[in-house]
Amino acid sequence: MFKRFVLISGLLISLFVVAIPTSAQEQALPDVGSYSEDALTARLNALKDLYRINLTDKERQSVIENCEPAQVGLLKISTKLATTKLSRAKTYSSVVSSLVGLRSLVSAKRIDPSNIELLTVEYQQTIEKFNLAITAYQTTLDDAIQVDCRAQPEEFRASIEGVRASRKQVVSASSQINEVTKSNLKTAFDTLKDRLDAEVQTDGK
Amino acid sequence: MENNDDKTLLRNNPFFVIGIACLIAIIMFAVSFLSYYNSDTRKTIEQIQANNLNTETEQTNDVVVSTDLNANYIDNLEKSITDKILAGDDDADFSPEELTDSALGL
Repeated sequence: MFKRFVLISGLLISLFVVAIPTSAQEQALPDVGSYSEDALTARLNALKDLYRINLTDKERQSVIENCEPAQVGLLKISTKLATTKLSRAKTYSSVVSSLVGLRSLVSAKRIDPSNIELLTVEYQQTIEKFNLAITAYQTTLDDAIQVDCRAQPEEFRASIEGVRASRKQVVSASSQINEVTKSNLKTAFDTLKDRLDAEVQTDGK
Repeated sequence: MENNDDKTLLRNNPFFVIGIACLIAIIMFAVSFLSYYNSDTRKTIEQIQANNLNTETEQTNDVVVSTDLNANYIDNLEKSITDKILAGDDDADFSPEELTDSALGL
């Protein structure tokens, strides 16, 4: 009996010990905002390790010869991305504002606004993911533009892989926003219309 | 023999049993709290609370909110939001083609 107590307590304590580092780990957010020479070097080294970039002499030579025009191309993509980021931010912000306005109207009619609140939060969370992803994409593009590609062809090649990977994250985050729009928005608004009908019928009686 | 007596003594000691029960309760509370703290549910609830607070502040600042809420208004809003969001073309905005080796001239 005593042994069982000790065993159960031990198990629970180990669970507790496992849970604390997990919570601490989730607090750490990727630092995509800061841009410095050290951070750039650290990111490039991490990418080089991640993608295990080992160029042959021929590949190395090819990168050295062609990387500067490639960086010009990347600069154009980066400039276009800045415009896209701004326009998307404006669109998403106006959508959230519309929903917050709708919630006020719904509350004023004394109708339960919980589904609109939940929808707003779903938008805010997916938009936040998108913002993080697009900022990270912009950082990887900046890294690829900034790296001295003739002196560091491996790092440049790694940075290109980083750009490709971070672009996928942006597309995935954008798709999530579209998905919320296609399914959750319709469901939430249909529910709201039902509640509105019920309210009108109650008032009519 | 003496060992068994010790165990029986411990088992019959109400303070010991209550102490163990309290310890288990504290650990279970801590685990549940941490699970909740790390969950998306907490983030969602906090976000809803923050939004409600913002809306209340806005309502006290902007007194005039007199749009009539009806099915037609909701349909129009749904269409407007859907059109705005789906107008963004991911293939054009984040094209994978422009990042290929050939497109970059590598």
